[in-house]
Amino acid sequence: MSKKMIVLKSSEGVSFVVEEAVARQSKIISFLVEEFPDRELPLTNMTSEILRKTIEYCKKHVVEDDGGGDSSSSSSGDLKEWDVKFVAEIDQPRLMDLLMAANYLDIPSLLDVTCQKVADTIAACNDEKEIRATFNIENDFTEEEVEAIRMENQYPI
Amino acid sequence: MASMEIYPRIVRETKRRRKGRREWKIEIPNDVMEEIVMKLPVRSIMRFQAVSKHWESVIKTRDFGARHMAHQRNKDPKLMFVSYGFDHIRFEQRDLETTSLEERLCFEIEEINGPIEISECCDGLVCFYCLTQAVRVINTATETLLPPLP
Repeated sequence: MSKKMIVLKSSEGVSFVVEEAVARQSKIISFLVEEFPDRELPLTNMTSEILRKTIEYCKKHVVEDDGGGDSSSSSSGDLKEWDVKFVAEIDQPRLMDLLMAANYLDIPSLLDVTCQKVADTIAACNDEKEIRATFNIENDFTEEEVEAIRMENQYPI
Repeated sequence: MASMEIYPRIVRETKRRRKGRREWKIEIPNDVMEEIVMKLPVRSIMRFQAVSKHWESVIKTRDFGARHMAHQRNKDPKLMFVSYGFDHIRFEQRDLETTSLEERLCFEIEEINGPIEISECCDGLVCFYCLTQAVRVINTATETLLPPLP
Protein backbone atom coordinates (compact mmCIF):
# COMPACT_ATOMS: atom_id res chain seq x y z
CA MET A 1 0.00 0.00 0.00
CA SER A 2 1.43 3.34 -0.93
CA LYS A 3 1.79 5.93 1.80
CA LYS A 4 -0.46 8.93 1.73
CA MET A 5 1.37 12.11 0.84
CA ILE A 6 0.46 15.68 1.57
CA VAL A 7 1.80 18.94 0.17
CA LEU A 8 3.05 21.81 2.33
CA LYS A 9 3.78 25.17 0.77
CA SER A 10 6.32 27.61 2.19
CA SER A 11 6.06 31.41 2.22
CA GLU A 12 8.08 31.53 -1.02
CA GLY A 13 5.55 29.22 -2.65
CA VAL A 14 7.85 26.20 -2.71
CA SER A 15 5.95 22.93 -2.36
CA PHE A 16 7.16 20.11 -0.14
CA VAL A 17 5.67 16.66 -0.56
CA VAL A 18 5.66 14.87 2.77
CA GLU A 19 4.33 11.58 4.04
CA GLU A 20 1.22 12.21 6.06
CA ALA A 21 2.59 10.33 9.08
CA VAL A 22 5.61 12.65 9.11
CA ALA A 23 3.55 15.83 8.88
CA ARG A 24 1.03 14.65 11.44
CA GLN A 25 3.52 15.23 14.23
CA SER A 26 2.32 18.77 13.96
CA LYS A 27 -1.01 18.95 15.72
CA ILE A 28 -2.07 21.81 13.49
CA ILE A 29 -1.31 19.91 10.29
CA SER A 30 -3.00 16.84 11.74
CA PHE A 31 -6.11 18.91 12.22
CA LEU A 32 -5.90 20.58 8.80
CA VAL A 33 -5.41 17.26 7.00
CA GLU A 34 -8.66 15.98 8.46
CA GLU A 35 -10.55 19.17 7.73
CA PHE A 36 -9.21 19.69 4.23
CA PRO A 37 -8.06 16.38 2.76
CA ASP A 38 -6.32 16.40 -0.63
CA ARG A 39 -5.48 20.06 -0.40
CA GLU A 40 -2.18 21.86 -0.46
CA LEU A 41 -1.50 23.42 2.94
CA PRO A 42 -0.03 26.93 2.69
CA LEU A 43 2.32 27.83 5.56
CA THR A 44 2.68 31.49 4.72
CA ASN A 45 4.75 32.43 7.76
CA MET A 46 7.42 29.77 7.23
CA THR A 47 10.34 30.12 4.86
CA SER A 48 11.43 27.15 2.76
CA GLU A 49 14.61 26.87 4.79
CA ILE A 50 12.77 26.59 8.11
CA LEU A 51 10.10 24.32 6.66
CA ARG A 52 12.81 22.04 5.30
CA LYS A 53 14.46 21.91 8.74
CA THR A 54 11.14 21.19 10.42
CA ILE A 55 10.38 18.37 7.99
CA GLU A 56 13.87 16.96 8.53
CA TYR A 57 13.15 16.83 12.25
CA CYS A 58 9.72 15.26 11.78
CA LYS A 59 11.11 12.63 9.41
CA LYS A 60 13.62 11.58 12.03
CA HIS A 61 11.01 11.46 14.75
CA VAL A 62 8.21 9.73 12.89
CA VAL A 63 7.12 6.53 14.53
CA GLU A 64 6.52 4.10 11.75
CA ASP A 65 3.85 1.56 12.31
CA ASP A 66 4.32 -1.14 9.70
CA GLY A 67 2.59 -3.70 11.84
CA GLY A 68 6.00 -5.17 12.63
CA GLY A 69 7.72 -5.26 15.99
CA ASP A 70 10.08 -2.42 15.22
CA SER A 71 7.84 0.55 15.83
CA SER A 72 10.47 3.25 16.10
CA SER A 73 13.10 4.11 13.52
CA SER A 74 15.80 4.71 16.13
CA SER A 75 16.33 4.12 19.83
CA SER A 76 15.53 6.95 22.23
CA GLY A 77 19.19 7.44 23.19
CA ASP A 78 20.26 7.84 19.57
CA LEU A 79 17.35 10.14 18.95
CA LYS A 80 18.31 12.39 21.85
CA GLU A 81 21.85 12.59 20.54
CA TRP A 82 20.54 13.38 17.08
CA ASP A 83 18.36 16.18 18.52
CA VAL A 84 21.33 17.78 20.27
CA LYS A 85 23.34 17.71 17.05
CA PHE A 86 20.38 18.96 15.07
CA VAL A 87 19.96 22.15 17.11
CA ALA A 88 23.71 22.64 17.58
CA GLU A 89 24.15 23.05 13.84
CA ILE A 90 21.64 25.90 13.59
CA ASP A 91 22.70 29.52 14.11
CA GLN A 92 20.92 31.81 16.54
CA PRO A 93 18.43 33.63 14.27
CA ARG A 94 17.42 30.43 12.52
CA LEU A 95 17.06 28.65 15.83
CA MET A 96 14.55 31.30 16.88
CA ASP A 97 12.68 30.85 13.58
CA LEU A 98 12.60 27.11 14.12
CA LEU A 99 11.34 27.60 17.67
CA MET A 100 8.56 29.83 16.37
CA ALA A 101 7.73 27.26 13.70
CA ALA A 102 7.52 24.50 16.32
CA ASN A 103 5.24 26.72 18.35
CA TYR A 104 3.07 27.65 15.38
CA LEU A 105 2.74 24.13 14.04
CA ASP A 106 2.38 22.74 17.54
CA ILE A 107 5.14 20.12 17.53
CA PRO A 108 5.78 19.67 21.28
CA SER A 109 9.03 17.68 21.05
CA LEU A 110 10.64 20.14 18.61
CA LEU A 111 9.51 23.07 20.77
CA ASP A 112 11.10 21.35 23.74
CA VAL A 113 14.52 20.83 22.12
CA THR A 114 14.64 24.34 20.66
CA CYS A 115 13.60 25.91 23.99
CA GLN A 116 16.29 23.85 25.73
CA LYS A 117 18.91 25.10 23.25
CA VAL A 118 17.85 28.70 23.81
CA ALA A 119 17.92 28.16 27.59
CA ASP A 120 21.42 26.65 27.33
CA THR A 121 22.54 29.63 25.26
CA ILE A 122 21.18 32.06 27.85
CA ALA A 123 22.78 30.06 30.67
CA ALA A 124 26.13 30.24 28.89
CA CYS A 125 26.04 34.05 28.89
CA ASN A 126 28.04 35.77 31.61
CA ASP A 127 25.80 38.80 32.03
CA GLU A 128 22.69 40.48 30.69
CA LYS A 129 24.71 42.45 28.14
CA GLU A 130 25.86 39.24 26.52
CA ILE A 131 22.29 37.93 26.46
CA ARG A 132 21.11 41.13 24.77
CA ALA A 133 23.85 40.90 22.16
CA THR A 134 23.15 37.23 21.44
CA PHE A 135 19.40 37.68 21.02
CA ASN A 136 19.55 41.16 19.53
CA ILE A 137 17.47 42.75 22.25
CA GLU A 138 17.34 46.43 23.00
CA ASN A 139 18.00 47.51 26.55
CA ASP A 140 14.97 49.55 27.59
CA PHE A 141 16.00 49.89 31.23
CA THR A 142 17.47 53.03 32.72
CA GLU A 143 20.69 52.72 34.75
CA GLU A 144 18.67 53.13 37.94
CA GLU A 145 16.27 50.36 37.02
CA VAL A 146 19.10 47.94 36.32
CA GLU A 147 20.65 48.88 39.64
CA ALA A 148 17.30 48.30 41.38
CA ILE A 149 17.06 44.79 39.91
CA ARG A 150 20.60 44.06 41.02
CA MET A 151 19.85 45.21 44.54
CA GLU A 152 16.68 43.18 44.66
CA ASN A 153 18.60 40.03 43.90
CA GLN A 154 21.37 40.65 46.33
CA TYR A 155 21.30 39.53 49.88
CA PRO A 156 23.52 41.06 52.51
CA ILE A 157 26.39 38.76 53.35
CA MET B 1 29.50 26.81 20.26
CA ALA B 2 30.61 30.36 20.93
CA SER B 3 32.21 30.94 17.56
CA MET B 4 29.19 29.57 15.77
CA GLU B 5 26.90 32.05 17.43
CA ILE B 6 29.11 35.04 17.06
CA TYR B 7 29.57 34.70 13.33
CA PRO B 8 25.94 35.04 12.19
CA ARG B 9 25.48 37.81 14.73
CA ILE B 10 28.17 39.88 13.07
CA VAL B 11 26.74 39.22 9.63
CA ARG B 12 23.26 40.16 10.77
CA GLU B 13 24.36 43.27 12.56
CA THR B 14 26.18 44.61 9.52
CA LYS B 15 23.11 43.93 7.45
CA ARG B 16 21.03 45.73 9.98
CA ARG B 17 23.23 48.78 9.95
CA ARG B 18 23.18 48.94 6.19
CA LYS B 19 19.43 48.92 6.09
CA GLY B 20 19.23 51.14 9.12
CA ARG B 21 16.69 48.94 10.83
CA ARG B 22 16.53 45.78 12.87
CA GLU B 23 16.87 42.71 10.72
CA TRP B 24 15.61 39.86 12.86
CA LYS B 25 13.76 41.07 15.86
CA ILE B 26 11.56 38.20 16.89
CA GLU B 27 8.65 38.58 19.21
CA ILE B 28 8.48 35.44 21.27
CA PRO B 29 5.03 34.72 22.71
CA ASN B 30 4.94 34.77 26.48
CA ASP B 31 4.06 31.10 26.91
CA VAL B 32 7.10 30.11 24.84
CA MET B 33 9.23 32.56 26.76
CA GLU B 34 8.14 30.93 29.99
CA GLU B 35 8.89 27.51 28.57
CA ILE B 36 12.48 28.72 28.06
CA VAL B 37 12.84 30.35 31.47
CA MET B 38 11.56 27.20 33.17
CA LYS B 39 14.64 25.42 31.86
CA LEU B 40 17.07 28.00 33.22
CA PRO B 41 19.03 27.68 36.44
CA VAL B 42 18.23 30.33 39.05
CA ARG B 43 21.54 32.11 38.43
CA SER B 44 20.60 32.77 34.80
CA ILE B 45 17.08 33.85 35.68
CA MET B 46 18.49 36.72 37.69
CA ARG B 47 20.46 37.85 34.65
CA PHE B 48 17.51 37.15 32.43
CA GLN B 49 15.25 39.67 34.14
CA ALA B 50 17.83 42.43 33.70
CA VAL B 51 17.77 42.01 29.90
CA SER B 52 14.68 44.06 29.06
CA LYS B 53 11.33 45.10 30.48
CA HIS B 54 9.54 42.44 28.50
CA TRP B 55 11.82 39.70 29.77
CA GLU B 56 11.49 40.99 33.29
CA SER B 57 7.71 40.88 33.05
CA VAL B 58 7.86 37.17 32.21
CA ILE B 59 9.44 36.44 35.55
CA LYS B 60 7.39 38.88 37.55
CA THR B 61 4.10 37.28 36.51
CA ARG B 62 1.82 35.26 38.72
CA ASP B 63 3.37 32.43 40.70
CA PHE B 64 6.43 32.06 38.51
CA GLY B 65 8.73 31.15 41.41
CA ALA B 66 6.56 28.26 42.55
CA ARG B 67 6.20 26.88 39.03
CA HIS B 68 9.91 27.11 38.37
CA MET B 69 10.56 25.23 41.60
CA ALA B 70 8.07 22.52 40.64
CA HIS B 71 9.77 22.16 37.26
CA GLN B 72 13.23 21.92 38.80
CA ARG B 73 12.01 19.27 41.24
CA ASN B 74 10.95 17.12 38.32
CA LYS B 75 14.50 16.89 37.05
CA ASP B 76 16.83 14.01 37.82
CA PRO B 77 18.15 14.07 41.37
CA LYS B 78 21.78 15.07 41.90
CA LEU B 79 24.36 14.26 44.50
CA MET B 80 25.55 17.09 46.71
CA PHE B 81 28.89 16.91 48.48
CA VAL B 82 29.67 19.36 51.24
CA SER B 83 33.12 19.89 52.65
CA TYR B 84 34.53 22.63 54.82
CA GLY B 85 37.86 24.01 55.90
CA PHE B 86 39.15 26.64 58.26
CA ASP B 87 37.36 29.58 56.66
CA HIS B 88 35.24 28.18 53.85
CA ILE B 89 32.47 25.77 53.04
CA ARG B 90 32.26 24.08 49.67
CA PHE B 91 29.41 22.46 47.78
CA GLU B 92 29.76 20.15 44.83
CA GLN B 93 26.99 18.95 42.60
CA ARG B 94 27.61 15.61 41.00
CA ASP B 95 25.75 13.32 38.67
CA LEU B 96 23.99 10.56 40.57
CA GLU B 97 25.17 7.80 38.24
CA THR B 98 28.59 8.83 37.03
CA THR B 99 29.45 11.05 40.04
CA SER B 100 31.15 13.44 37.63
CA LEU B 101 31.44 17.00 38.92
CA GLU B 102 28.90 19.39 37.41
CA GLU B 103 29.07 22.48 39.57
CA ARG B 104 31.14 23.77 42.44
CA LEU B 105 30.31 26.50 44.90
CA CYS B 106 32.53 27.88 47.63
CA PHE B 107 31.68 30.35 50.38
CA GLU B 108 34.06 32.16 52.65
CA ILE B 109 32.85 32.13 56.21
CA GLU B 110 34.07 33.30 59.57
CA GLU B 111 36.66 31.20 61.31
CA ILE B 112 35.40 27.84 62.35
CA ASN B 113 36.39 26.47 65.73
CA GLY B 114 35.72 22.81 66.00
CA PRO B 115 33.25 20.66 64.10
CA ILE B 116 30.23 22.10 62.33
CA GLU B 117 26.86 20.55 61.71
CA ILE B 118 25.42 20.69 58.22
CA SER B 119 21.73 20.09 57.63
CA GLU B 120 20.10 18.25 54.78
CA CYS B 121 19.28 20.25 51.69
CA CYS B 122 15.74 21.57 51.38
CA ASP B 123 14.90 23.01 47.93
CA GLY B 124 18.42 24.35 47.63
CA LEU B 125 18.67 25.75 51.13
CA VAL B 126 21.32 24.36 53.45
CA CYS B 127 21.77 25.33 57.05
CA PHE B 128 24.91 24.92 59.14
CA TYR B 129 26.15 25.82 62.57
CA CYS B 130 28.96 25.21 65.00
CA LEU B 131 29.12 25.54 68.75
CA THR B 132 30.50 29.05 68.88
CA GLN B 133 28.43 30.66 66.13
CA ALA B 134 24.88 31.42 65.14
CA VAL B 135 23.02 29.26 62.64
CA ARG B 136 23.69 30.28 59.05
CA VAL B 137 21.67 29.47 55.93
CA ILE B 138 23.07 29.18 52.42
CA ASN B 139 20.89 29.41 49.34
CA THR B 140 22.75 27.24 46.84
CA ALA B 141 20.45 28.29 43.98
CA THR B 142 21.11 32.03 44.23
CA GLU B 143 24.60 31.34 45.60
CA THR B 144 24.15 33.55 48.61
CA LEU B 145 25.00 33.23 52.27
CA LEU B 146 22.09 34.64 54.23
CA PRO B 147 22.75 36.77 57.31
CA PRO B 148 23.06 34.93 60.65
CA LEU B 149 19.82 34.01 62.30
CA PRO B 150 19.22 35.67 65.64
